[in-house]
Amino acid sequence: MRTPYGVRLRCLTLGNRPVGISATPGPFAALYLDDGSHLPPPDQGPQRAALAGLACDASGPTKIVVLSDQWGSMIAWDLQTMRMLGHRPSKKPGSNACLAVTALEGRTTILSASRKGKLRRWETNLTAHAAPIAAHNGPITAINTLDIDGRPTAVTVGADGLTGSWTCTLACAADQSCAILPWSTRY
Amino acid sequence: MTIDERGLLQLWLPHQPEPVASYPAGVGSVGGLACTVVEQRPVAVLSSGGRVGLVDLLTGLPADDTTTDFTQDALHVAVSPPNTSTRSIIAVQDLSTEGRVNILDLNPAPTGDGPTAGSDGRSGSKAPVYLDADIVTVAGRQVIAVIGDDATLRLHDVSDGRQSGPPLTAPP
Repeated sequence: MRTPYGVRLRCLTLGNRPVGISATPGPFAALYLDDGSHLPPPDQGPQRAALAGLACDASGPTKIVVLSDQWGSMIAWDLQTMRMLGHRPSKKPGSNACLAVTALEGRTTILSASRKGKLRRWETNLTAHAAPIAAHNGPITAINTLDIDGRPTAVTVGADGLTGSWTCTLACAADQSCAILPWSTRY
Repeated sequence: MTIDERGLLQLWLPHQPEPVASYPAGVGSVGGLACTVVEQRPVAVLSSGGRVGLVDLLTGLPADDTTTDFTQDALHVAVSPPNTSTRSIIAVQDLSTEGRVNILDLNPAPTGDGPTAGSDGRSGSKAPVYLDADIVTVAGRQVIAVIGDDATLRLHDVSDGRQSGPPLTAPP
């Protein structure tokens, strides 16, 4: 069956083996790229609309896959157990259109970017997010993460023509709730 | 590194508001931009139309030029990391232009056909349209993993574009 819309592919290394993760409007699927064998299917989770974003990461303590749909709903799975970590329903189209995952100070962290220019940090269970950062005037079209001088940094690109780099330092309170310190450069 | 619609290539430091260098690249309508190191010199790799050009980032001068076999614009480019033994450019069209990929050596002549929709070679079967791709290391080799609209994954060696192994079927 041909699946012409909303297909994404990301690759990572899990336990020294290369893994391909593909997502369509259905749940994601994962297979080992060295022998073609399949990883177990994930928990089904709730019904989703057309796929918007896919991100995955196995470098942090939680090996994670997170998807978003065109309504902004997000679902996260543990890639090792294939259990659903969290579900965040939304009815705001494009509210989490772009996704990235990174490890911040030992915590696996989800970053989402919206078509209204907001950048949000989420816990892996998607139950709470820090106060959003107004990153761009208009839609954020892409987000990625990298280390700059050893500091985790999120890079965003917006339809306003700007590129932003955001230092991902956590400010953690006694209750372990954390926020990104929005130190940034836009150019 | 950024390039604007006038073809002005600019270099930036992450925490500095002004560019550290500005070079007119002499091209317009740039589709893709990437950077790597060739013979110990940093270069920008940019696609414009069906061509891929290299600009020396130390001097701002054109360093090399090569062509894809695309009939339309190459919309994206990616390059092998600087510390790999094989240095290739991956030039990509998108779905609206058949979803084709060329792999180009950093010498002028194209060296491989790459994962190219429409050249599957299987008689009687329609070649898939490639919808997304990522680079990953498999058995110590860098490969491009591509997913097609037939829900299969194919692995192509970055160095020569050859498909390695049979198509892999994604779980249902």
